[in-house]
Amino acid sequence: MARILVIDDDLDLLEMTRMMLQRGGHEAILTGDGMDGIVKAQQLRPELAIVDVMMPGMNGYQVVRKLREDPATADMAVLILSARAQSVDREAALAARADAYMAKPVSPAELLQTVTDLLERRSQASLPANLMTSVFSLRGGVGTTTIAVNLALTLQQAGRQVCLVDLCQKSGHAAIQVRLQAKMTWADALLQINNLSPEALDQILLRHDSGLRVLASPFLPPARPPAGEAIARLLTMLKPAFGATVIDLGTLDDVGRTAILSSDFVLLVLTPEVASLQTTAATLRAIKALNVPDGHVLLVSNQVALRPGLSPAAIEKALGRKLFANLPYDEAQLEALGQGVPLMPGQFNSPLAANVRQLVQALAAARSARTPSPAP
Amino acid sequence: MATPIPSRRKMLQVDFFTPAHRLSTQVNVYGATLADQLNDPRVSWINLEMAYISRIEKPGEIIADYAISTLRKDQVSLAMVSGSTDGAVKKIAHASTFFPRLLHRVWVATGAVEITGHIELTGKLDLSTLLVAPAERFMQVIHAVATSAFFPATQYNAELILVNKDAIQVFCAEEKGKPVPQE
Repeated sequence: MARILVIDDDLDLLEMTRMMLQRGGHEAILTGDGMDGIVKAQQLRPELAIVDVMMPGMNGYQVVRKLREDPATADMAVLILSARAQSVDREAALAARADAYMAKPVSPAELLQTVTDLLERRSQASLPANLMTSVFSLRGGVGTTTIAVNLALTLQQAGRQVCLVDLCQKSGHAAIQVRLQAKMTWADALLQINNLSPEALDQILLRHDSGLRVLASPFLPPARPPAGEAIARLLTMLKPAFGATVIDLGTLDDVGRTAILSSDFVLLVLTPEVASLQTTAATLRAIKALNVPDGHVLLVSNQVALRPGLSPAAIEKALGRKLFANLPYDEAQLEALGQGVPLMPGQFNSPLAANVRQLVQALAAARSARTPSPAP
Repeated sequence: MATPIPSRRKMLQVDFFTPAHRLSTQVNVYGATLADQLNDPRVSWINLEMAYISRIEKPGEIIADYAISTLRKDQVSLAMVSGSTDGAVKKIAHASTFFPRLLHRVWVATGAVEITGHIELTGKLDLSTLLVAPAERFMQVIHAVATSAFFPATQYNAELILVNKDAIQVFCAEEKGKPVPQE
C-alpha cells in the first residue's frame, strides 16, 4: 500500500481517482489546488503524486517543478494526468520532470497499473547500489528461504542483477526452490578463496532463467564450519559485483555473524507464535551484542500456517519494537514449493508476492530514511 | 411534484488554434454541438470556460490561464477534438441511399498548420460546392493529423478537426472516395 497525493481541480474526477486508488489498496490524499498540493506533499511525504495539468492559478507543470526543487519532495514519483492529450503535452510533462504522463480519460485498470509500475520503479531507483540483505532466523520452518528467494526474484525483476547466497550449512533449499541443481556450491568457492578470481566465482554461481545468480549451499554440512574471514572475503567479492545480494541465513556462528555484519539490512523472520517470539527475542539480544546498528535489523512476521497466530500488535508489544513487514499466509506458496516454481514472477499478484514487493518498497524507504537529507 | 428542469450544460474539451496561439479549453455546447456554435452566423464570438493558453511555437507550455474568455470565431484556424466527439458534431444517419457516403482523403493547409485526414461526402466530390456553397463556416475533417508547418516535428492527433474555411489556403483531396465503414 502506498500513500498517493492526487491534485486535480475537477472534484468529481478527484473522488473517482480516490475510489480507484483505494480499490487498489492505496491511501489517497486529495486536494483541488496546486499550492495546497505542494504543502501536503511536504507535510505528508507521499510516495507518489498524481497531478492534473489544467488547474487555475498554478498549473500541473508548475506544481511538478516546485516538487522537484524541494529536497523534501524531489524524489517523489509524479504522474501527470491531463486532458491535453497531444505528444507535445507528453513532452512538456516529461520536461517538467514528471515520471510518467497519461491522457484523460483513463480506465481504472490502466491507472492502477501505471501507479504500480511507478511505485516499483521508484523503489528500485531509491534502493542503494550493491544492497546486501540477510534474511535470517535461528528457527527452522519460518519461511526464511521462501522470503529470500522471492525477495531476490522481485529485485531481479525490478532490473537489478541479483545474487542469492544460501549460507545455510545443512542442505539449504534456495537452489531447489528455483529448480536449480547445485553442481558447485560456496564450499567450492571457499576451497580456493585465497586465489578465487571473479571468473572462477562466476563459474560457481548457478544461473536461473530470470537472470538471478545463485550461490548454493552444499548438500552435506562441511566437516569443519567455514571461517568467518573466508565468508567475509567471499561476500566482499559478491557485493560490488551485483546490484543486490540476498543472503539466506540460519545460524549465528562465525558465518552468521560475518553475514550480518556485512549486510545493509537484516530481515529477522519470525512466525506469529510464542516459540518463535522467544527465539526472536533471544536472537535480537545476540545481534545487539554484535553492535549492529538498531535500524539495520528489521522484523518480518511470516504467517506460514492457515491457523491464526498472534496479532501484529501482540508481537510488537512482546518484542518492544515495530514489525517492518507482516507477510500473509499464501496457499499459492505451498503449491510453489511443491512444484519447485517460485511465486515470482509467475504469480505476481499472489498475496505473498505482492507483500514481498511492498517489502522491497519499504526497504527503499528505510534506506532513504537512513541517508541524511541534503542541506537546504 | 414539480418536474426537475433538465440541465443543458454539456462541456466539451477542445483545443482551438489561432495563427499565434493554442487554447486548451472547455466549451459548453448546451445540448447542441460545437459545430453548431462555430457555424452559427448570428454570433461572432464563442465563450470558453477555463482557457489554458500556449504560444504556437511552444504548444506544450502554458503561458496563462483564465476562467472566463471569449474567442473571435473568424480568427480561429481550427478546433480540435482529441477524445470523444460526442457533442462536437451531429451524428449522420447512414440510411441506405442511391448515392453512398464516401470518405475522401484530404490535405489542407491553413498557413501555420497542415492537416491530413478524411472528409465524408455523399456523391461526387466537387470542390466549389464543398468549399464555397454551404453556409457552414467550419469543415469537418475526421481521423486527422495536424502538423505545424514551421515546426514539423510538432504533430497533433485528433478524432475530429473543424477547419475554418476562411483560413484555408490550400485544399487537396483524392477524387475517388472509399465507402464509409459500417458501424
